[in-house]
Amino acid sequence: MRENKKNEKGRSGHKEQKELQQNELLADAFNACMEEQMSFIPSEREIARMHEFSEEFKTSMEHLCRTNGKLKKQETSAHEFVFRFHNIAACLFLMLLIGGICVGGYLISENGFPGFGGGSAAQSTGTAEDRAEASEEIPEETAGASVSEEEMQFAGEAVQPAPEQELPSGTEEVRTLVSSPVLDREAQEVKVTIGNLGEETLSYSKDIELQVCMDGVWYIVPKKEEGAEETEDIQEVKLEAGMAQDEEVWLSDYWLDYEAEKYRTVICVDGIFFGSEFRFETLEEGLEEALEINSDISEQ
Amino acid sequence: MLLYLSMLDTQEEKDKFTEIYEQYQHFCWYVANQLLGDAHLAEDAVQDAFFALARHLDKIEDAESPKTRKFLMTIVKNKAVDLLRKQHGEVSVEELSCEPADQGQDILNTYITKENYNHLISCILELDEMYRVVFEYKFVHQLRDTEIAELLDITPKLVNVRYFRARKKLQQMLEKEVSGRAGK
Repeated sequence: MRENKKNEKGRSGHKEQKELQQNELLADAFNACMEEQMSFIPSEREIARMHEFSEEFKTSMEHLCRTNGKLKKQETSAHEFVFRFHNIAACLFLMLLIGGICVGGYLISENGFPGFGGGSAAQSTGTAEDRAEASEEIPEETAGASVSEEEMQFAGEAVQPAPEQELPSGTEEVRTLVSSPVLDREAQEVKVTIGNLGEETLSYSKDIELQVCMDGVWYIVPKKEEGAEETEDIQEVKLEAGMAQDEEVWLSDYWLDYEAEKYRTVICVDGIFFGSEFRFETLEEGLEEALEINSDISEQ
Repeated sequence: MLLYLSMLDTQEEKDKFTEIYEQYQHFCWYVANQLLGDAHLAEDAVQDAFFALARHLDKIEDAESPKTRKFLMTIVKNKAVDLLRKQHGEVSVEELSCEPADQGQDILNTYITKENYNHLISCILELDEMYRVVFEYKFVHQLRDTEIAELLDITPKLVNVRYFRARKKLQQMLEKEVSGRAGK
């Protein structure tokens, strides 16, 4: 009896071992076949030249990256959110408008409250002294306006308008692209890809400028430690035909305002300036993302 | 503190996901395009693959390792095959009935020997991608049925059905291959 049991155990052990070996052999064979299959696949760069992803694909993949794979959920909620946000914004705007008109009307009818929108009415009915004070204020204001045409205040710093307002993002030979058109507020850097689509070698300067758009005008964003940067040599990079190169712009080097309309990186390639636009995610977008993350955590 | 840590983890995952995407997007498209022969449909397959990958990021240790490349290859092939099947409205009767194939007829193991290794390789290379994917998940990526089910977007029971169908197919091919060689 005992011997029979021993034999049975031995047989089942042997069977298991054999199965294990067969599974290993199968794994080896499938691994080898996958390697064989992969050996025929060209490099990423070559495939990139072969096929350019559609804009629709790029947008949805960007979304997917930003939300870490929650595309479908994000799509619907974002749509709903935008709809609701627009409604709320419209209501708020209406309320403010009506409130403003009422208060303004009241103040004008009461004929007092200097410095408010009804200043012209106050001036017309005011004393000679008031008029004199007002006339003294006017030149200061106009002086301020002339300065604001030249420079603006941005993130607590005075910024100068960019010499060239309209910049292309690429030509037939050159293409510049930022890694993401909408950046996370916690992003450390913005990556700019410079692609040489032509047949000749190009050169570009590594000194990439950051510009911000305010009221439709582009301004140069100042660096935090401009002095230190200026002493460094500006590197020229050669880019061979058909090649692409990534450059990083470290955001911590600049004074930034995340609420700004949009930003762009400006790079000089063979004497021509190219701009690639991006913006930071709005607080609402960030908040929504954080809410989703929190809901995911609580679900888990 | 816990909340902060879990958010940090999510940020890390986000970075990992982006890194993988940037590194393998074109590779994935190429694999999908080879199967589908349609550049636009291949983009859909890539998107589906990354969507599936996002739920299984924990299975990726190093974005640059060959293992990751292989794992992505299997996922994208799986998604491309799904699209092809959808396009052709292909749902097998076996799968609809959800009954596993008769395991009594499974004699594949008798052919899995070192002597038959070369036959095995040539049969795998000929094997339909739909079946290969199941084998790859199971033997190359060492995933459990439940994990495979999540990736294939089917029930674990159906994974079993596909696995036995795949074994049967491979067995038939090996029988033919081995007997063909013996005849020569």
